Amino acid sequence: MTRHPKHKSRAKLLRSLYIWHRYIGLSAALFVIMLSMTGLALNHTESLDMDSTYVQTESLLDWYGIQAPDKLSSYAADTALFTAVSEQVFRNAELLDDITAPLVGVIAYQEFIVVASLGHLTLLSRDGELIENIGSAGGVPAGMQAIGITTDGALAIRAAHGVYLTDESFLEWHEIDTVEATWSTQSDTPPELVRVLRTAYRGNGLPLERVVLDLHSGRILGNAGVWLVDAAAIVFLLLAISGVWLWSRRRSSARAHRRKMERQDEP
Amino acid sequence: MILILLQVGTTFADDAYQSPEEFLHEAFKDITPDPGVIWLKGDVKGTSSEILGHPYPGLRIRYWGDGDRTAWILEEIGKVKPITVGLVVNDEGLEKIRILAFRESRGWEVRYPFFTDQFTGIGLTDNHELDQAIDGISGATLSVRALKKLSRLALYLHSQTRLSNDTTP
Repeated sequence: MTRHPKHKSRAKLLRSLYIWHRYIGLSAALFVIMLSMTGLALNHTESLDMDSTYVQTESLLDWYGIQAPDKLSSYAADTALFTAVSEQVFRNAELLDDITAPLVGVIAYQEFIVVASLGHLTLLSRDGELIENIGSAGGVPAGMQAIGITTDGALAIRAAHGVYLTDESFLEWHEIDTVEATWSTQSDTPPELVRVLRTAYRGNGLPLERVVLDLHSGRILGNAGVWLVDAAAIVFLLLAISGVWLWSRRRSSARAHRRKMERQDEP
Repeated sequence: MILILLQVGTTFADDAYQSPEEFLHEAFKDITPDPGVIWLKGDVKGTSSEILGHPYPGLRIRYWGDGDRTAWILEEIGKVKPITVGLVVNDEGLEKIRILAFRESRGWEVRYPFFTDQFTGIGLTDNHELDQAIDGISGATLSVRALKKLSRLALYLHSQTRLSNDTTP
């Protein structure tokens, strides 16, 4: 018995679709694994500490273009050197999380080390422990340009609108007309410290969560990566549709075959 | 889904909603009282750490006081970045809570009155817990948690300013 040509071409189409479904499925497997794994990881970023773990792989840091600036500005106070590396501030080689560059100056004043940064005065103990971060609500003058000690031993801030002095507790500020003061000035950063800080800066620049997120979205490869993941998503859709269709075809033909066999078995 | 959340979130990232000066101005009807500080040492340090689940970053906290009312500007990390919160406390409980700056990519809904109004009049139990339940917001669990902690801390510190002579004014 020969098959009807229409049935023959349909069977050929079905077989061809099976083959395509299989090969597309195999090639999509890599994306399924990658998206599933990164998706699972992103669902548990906190418990996996992915937001507080930083990538140290040089090639990946290079890929993201995380480079420390060539020029570092340092201020010496007490026995420590405070250095701004881009937006990060270090006390010797230790990162100070509570201070953001640019630095205006750093001075030792009474039992404190006072770090003046953009809009903030940060009080540290001589050991580097944070005492208080004072902002504009605490009276810190706007537009700080320099920090210094007057000849009378008071702490002075030169700001956009004048020179201001504060009390020993940093609670009150008052403006004065003229003042003789020694202002904090920049110091040279030793080459060895420059090398250490540049490495530390890069090592604090790229959270693991960012990389996993970019892998998940494809952004790690730029716009082309996003298109690639979009294409993978469309392939998944096609696989789902072709899979359901092939399954329903197979099911209906199996039913038809079973009915045919039952009819043949009837006496 | 993650991408959608991120895109929505980044619209609100790094938003400063009210400056600390404006908050104090509003809290004290244009005449901001002189500031004082409370030092975190001994029991105060221990209880503050217990409330937050970690030591407060710094050895002293500034506040502004006027009679039985005190105002606090505190920070707590939601997920990875600090949320700056202004709180006004009186002897009856929490009078006002405002999100001054929200830097996280998710959970910014905590700034809306439908959420912050729940804190009005809330007080502390003897165990330094809030004496009323706060309804959370789906997807903002960490921000809600941070605000509850800061409310407890402000209420506790207010009680300490009423007890201790080691503060100014």
